[in-house]
Amino acid sequence: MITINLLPDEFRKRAQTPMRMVAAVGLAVALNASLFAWWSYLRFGVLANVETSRSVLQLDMDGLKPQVTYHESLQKEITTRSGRERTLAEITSNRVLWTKVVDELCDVVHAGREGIEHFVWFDDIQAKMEDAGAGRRRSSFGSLKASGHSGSTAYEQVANFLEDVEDPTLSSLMTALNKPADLEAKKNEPEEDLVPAVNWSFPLQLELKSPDERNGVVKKPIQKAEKAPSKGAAK
Amino acid sequence: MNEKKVWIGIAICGSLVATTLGYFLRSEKLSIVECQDSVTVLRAQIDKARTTVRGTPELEREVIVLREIAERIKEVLPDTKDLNDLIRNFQDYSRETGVVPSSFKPKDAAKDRAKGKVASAFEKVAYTLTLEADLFQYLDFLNRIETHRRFMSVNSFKIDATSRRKLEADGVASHRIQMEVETYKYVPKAGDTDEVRIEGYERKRDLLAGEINRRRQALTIATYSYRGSRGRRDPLIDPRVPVRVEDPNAWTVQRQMEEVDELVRRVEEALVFWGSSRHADSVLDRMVKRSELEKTLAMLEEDLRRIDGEKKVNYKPAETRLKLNVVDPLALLRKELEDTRAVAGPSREELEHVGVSMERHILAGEYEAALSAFKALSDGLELIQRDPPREVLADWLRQLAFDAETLRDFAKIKLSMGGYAIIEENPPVVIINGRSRSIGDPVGNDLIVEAIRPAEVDFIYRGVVLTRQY
Repeated sequence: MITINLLPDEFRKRAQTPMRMVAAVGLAVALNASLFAWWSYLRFGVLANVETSRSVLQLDMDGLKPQVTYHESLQKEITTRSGRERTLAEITSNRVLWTKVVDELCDVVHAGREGIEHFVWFDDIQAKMEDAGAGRRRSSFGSLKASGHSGSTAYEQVANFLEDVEDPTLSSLMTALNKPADLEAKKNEPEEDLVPAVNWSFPLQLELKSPDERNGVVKKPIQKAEKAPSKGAAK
Repeated sequence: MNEKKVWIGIAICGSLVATTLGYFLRSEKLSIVECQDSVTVLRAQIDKARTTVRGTPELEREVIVLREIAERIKEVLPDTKDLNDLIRNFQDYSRETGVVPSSFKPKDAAKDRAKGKVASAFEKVAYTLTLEADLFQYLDFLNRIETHRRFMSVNSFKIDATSRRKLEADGVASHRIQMEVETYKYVPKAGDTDEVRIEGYERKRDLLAGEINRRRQALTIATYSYRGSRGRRDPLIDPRVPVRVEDPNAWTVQRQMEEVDELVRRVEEALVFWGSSRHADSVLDRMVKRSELEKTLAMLEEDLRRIDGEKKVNYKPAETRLKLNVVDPLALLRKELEDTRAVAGPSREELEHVGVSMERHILAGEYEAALSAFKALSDGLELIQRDPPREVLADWLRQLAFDAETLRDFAKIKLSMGGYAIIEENPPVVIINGRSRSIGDPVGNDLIVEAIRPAEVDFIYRGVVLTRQY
């Protein structure tokens, strides 16, 4: 069916945009305007602010870079130069002054007063240092060995000699060497055409101390954690 | 357009705009997050850089100290070039200490490198030396190595004592010694020597003078002051002596060795003296030295006779050494001395030279010097026989000696001269030692007044006329 409006113009209702449409358009416009405002805030507010901060920081960083490069160059030079000093310190601390050791051994032999305390001579003397690169946990740092003779029938003179080796008033051998190995001696065939005719052979073996001990570096003992005081402990 | 289409249009347009704005918003969000991330990274980097830079002054100080002690380190661990001197040093040391080297060879350092035992910038150099010496000579040699300005370390050594038979034959101990000496050479890598420029270096260095000195001191290598045998016996020599009748005054082995050492030293001195007397600059010097040598030899021979008579030296090595280094050279020296004296005596040139110098001394009033020149030659004058030209010269020297002696003694006589009176037709008078004397009067022993003139008096002294002025 077709509806026909037969009323004269002045009585007809005027054509109007429907309210719902206006509301819908208004809503769409408001929504988009809000989105635009948010975007503008982010673009010109937050982002601009962060970028400014970044620029400032970048300037700071650019200013620091030459100083860091200078620092690194110094670091490199130190590495190169201190290597030499470190090596020198290491090899000097490992060294043993054998002149001192053997000279003091002569003092000890001399202290026997030609048979009153002891009367000792050697067939050979050997000294050897173990390589420093073998690590700290090695069992030996080197040794001083000698095949000794004690010219006396009294074999206690061998003990006298070893006691003198350890005697700090006669020599400082014990600062570089550990105590001699346990005493052992063997009586040789008497030589009747010589005085004294009897002599005892004995080995002298002295182990080297570690470089730290030789240089007087005292290791601190590891302290155990203290026990908590008992509740009843008097204050 | 109907209403439906309008609705559709509105919806499409609205959505399109909203979607576009949404996309922009998302993009901005992402940009912001990215930018914030980079800000965070930059902040972290700046913090790290600031922390790093804060340590720069400390590094500068360390670099300055290391640069300043570099020379000291280089002295101790030099570059390759100094290594060539090592063998020369060994040679010098063996000469100075009396050690006899028999071989030296480098130890293979490549093995150590392969095992990673050597620090990167340093290469170990080791030599194995074989020597012969007594223990004290070896200790002297060892000490020179260990106190050398370049770092050297003796890694191992073995001394085998000389046999009793060899010692008795040679008289001196020559133990066989093998030792390993090691050192390091610096092998710089590329860029090792680059130096960073430090602002105000001199000023900063001056402020660090204390630290630099401390670190330099720390680099000082420990040394030992070896002071020789100091009367101790060599512990590698069997000190037992042959059996003999018990003698409470017998010398110990040590005493015997010391006494022989002392005699050897005196013989060596005498030999040096003999050499210098043969090459003396002047005849006079030669004569004086020869005379001194005679005395030294006489004393040595006396000591030897005493030792031999009392059989003090019976320790075979000492005995051998006494024969080889004292008795034999002394006999040879005595023979040379006797030979040169018996054959020649003072030569004509020597006599003339001494005569001229005596005359010169007498003219200068140096009578003692003239007499000592004559004394050096006087013993030899007796040897001149059947050689008229030299006999004339010898007589001339004796006369000069007599003159010098007379003049010396005359000069020693104290005379107090007073006034004098010289009057015509009267004998002249002079006051000497408070008494008036005339010509012919004696003044003490051997002195007679010969003539009196104004301000001088002639005396006859030992047959010679001498004038004293006053």
